[in-house]
Amino acid sequence: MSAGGWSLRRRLLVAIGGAALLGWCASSFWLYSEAIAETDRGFDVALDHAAHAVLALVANETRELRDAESGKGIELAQIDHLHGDPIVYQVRGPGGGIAYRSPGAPVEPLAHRDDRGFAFARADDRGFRVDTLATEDGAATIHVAQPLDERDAVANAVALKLLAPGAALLVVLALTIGWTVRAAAEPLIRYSRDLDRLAPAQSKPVDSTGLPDELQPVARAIDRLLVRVSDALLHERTLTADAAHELRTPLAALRLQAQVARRSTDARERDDALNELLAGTDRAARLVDSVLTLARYDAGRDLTLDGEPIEIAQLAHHVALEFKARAAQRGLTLELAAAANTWLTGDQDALGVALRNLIDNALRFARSRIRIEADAHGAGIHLAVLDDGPGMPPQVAGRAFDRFFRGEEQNSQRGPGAGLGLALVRRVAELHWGEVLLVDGIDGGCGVKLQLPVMLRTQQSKVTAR
Amino acid sequence: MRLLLIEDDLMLGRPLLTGLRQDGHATDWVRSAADAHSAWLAPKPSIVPYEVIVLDLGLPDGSGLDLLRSARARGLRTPVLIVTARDRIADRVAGLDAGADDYMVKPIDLDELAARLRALDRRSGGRLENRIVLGDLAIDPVARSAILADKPVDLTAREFALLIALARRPGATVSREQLEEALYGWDDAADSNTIEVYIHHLRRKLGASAIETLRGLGYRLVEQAAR
Repeated sequence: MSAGGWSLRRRLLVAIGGAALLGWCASSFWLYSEAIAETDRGFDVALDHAAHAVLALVANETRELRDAESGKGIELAQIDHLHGDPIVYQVRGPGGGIAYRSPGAPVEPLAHRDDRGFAFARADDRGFRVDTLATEDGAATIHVAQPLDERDAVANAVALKLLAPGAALLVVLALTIGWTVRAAAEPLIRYSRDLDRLAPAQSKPVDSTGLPDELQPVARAIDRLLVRVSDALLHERTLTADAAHELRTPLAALRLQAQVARRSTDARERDDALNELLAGTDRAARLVDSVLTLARYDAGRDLTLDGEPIEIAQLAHHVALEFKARAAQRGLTLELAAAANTWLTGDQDALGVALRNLIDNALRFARSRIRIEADAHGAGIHLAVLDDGPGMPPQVAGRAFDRFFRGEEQNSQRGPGAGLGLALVRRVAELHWGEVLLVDGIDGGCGVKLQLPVMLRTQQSKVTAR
Repeated sequence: MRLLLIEDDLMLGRPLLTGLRQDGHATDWVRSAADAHSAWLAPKPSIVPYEVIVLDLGLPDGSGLDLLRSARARGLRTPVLIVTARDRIADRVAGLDAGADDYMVKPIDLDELAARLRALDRRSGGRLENRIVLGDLAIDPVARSAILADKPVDLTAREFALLIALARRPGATVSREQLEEALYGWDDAADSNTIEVYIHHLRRKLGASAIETLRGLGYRLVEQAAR
């Protein structure tokens, strides 16, 4: 577990355990005080009873009190008490002197004569609870007292008996939490171990039985992610294999052409072979360029997608000019139908590459005309290249934008392409959050249209951030 | 030899065709499984059978392996040399097991291809060495030379191709059509009397009795008694 985070087990233990402990402390404090107060009340009641009993005894003896109070007090019988130390008492005569006292009662008066009722007192280094009563005529005052340590011991014993089950409960609770969390974490640990052991291109769902219900959606999401990742990986591998094959073929051809040239004894044959070799080298170079450009666009490198707006019509105009000579050489008319206000925020070079590829394709198939159309359309810019060639056969149309897929070369007026042109166009469209589609060309010919949304720059940066 | 090259890729096919023709093989080139089918598996009766097939496996309209299997299923014994970019062991095993006689992985070398074709030819002719010896005439297909009674014979490429065609199965009669095919392939039509002209040249260089004419059947290379 990282230093930043707490394990689930620790969180639960601390949260639930802490709450339980706090609750237990609070309830214990309350129970303890209640127990102490309750025992105190009980003791006080008992003390009061004892005091009234003593008072009843001395009420008829007031005369003798006067005689007895001069001394240190005569010890009388002690009052039995259930718990340990007995209750002590002092009986004071009308003069205030102690006439009688119980054995073990302090010699000094435990309270002031006039302080009737309950009070706390200290005598002989002991604390006492004192109940002071007086006869109606005031001739006799009695202090009945109970040592506090005695009362406290009893109160504590009672309180502890009340608290013990709570403490036991706390221990049981802590153990239960620990065990439950451990049991709940066990499948998680197993699950993550299974994830760790996965092969890179694994797309089968990972066994999530035993995971808590709350985590099942996560497991499902991971399964879906695995499928996506393995799909992407497979796609990547196919592409790599295709690219390897496509790069190897022209090299193998170059080698053959070179060998044919070296072996030929006839000057014309050698010239032909050398020309083939040169043309083959150019083709291989174009292929490598396309592969590299595509790789760059795949990685999204070297692109300025949120720079200054560019006018698509203007771009189309420039690119069309580049192709004018080549089109004328082939006896083809290159038309440009560009509307005003075709501003778009995007990468000028990438859009130029896309357009060049489209015109290049059209040059390959057109019979007499190529038309480039650029216009603003609702929330987007449409850029299309149309030709009047034989059109794209349906079986080719479905795969036209796939990498390394070549259409029927027989229909082509020129040599074969690399099979990357339209794939590049699609990638450029995707990079501009647009799409590319096949449309009808001129007179049954083929057309390819880029639909590029015009987005506010803030929207774009959001999309980029995603 | 009369070869059929089955290769869909223009860039590879063209130099391969030239290279094979440089080696004196009368080579036809087809670029699809369908064309290969009609040239090899179901040829018109007038077409002289091919002696070796050079087969690429990845064809736009079908698999070269399927083509090979159906050829073998039809009982065609033509030696097949697979030339392909598939370089895994499993691919090679599958290719050979489907009935191929040899397997080459691209990029290929024309000299190696030529040597393998000679090996196939040797094997199908039951010969131990490339050199064909017929009496005091020795023909070396590698050096593309012929020696008659210890003296080298000066032959043009086409004369040599014709001689090889006659000598590869000693004593067998070779039809005029076979000789024409051996010389040109489909796209290089010969005059009706071209063969006669070359036969005439060969007889002049090898001796008048070296080649027998069998009326209506063709020609035969005859063993010359050592002089």
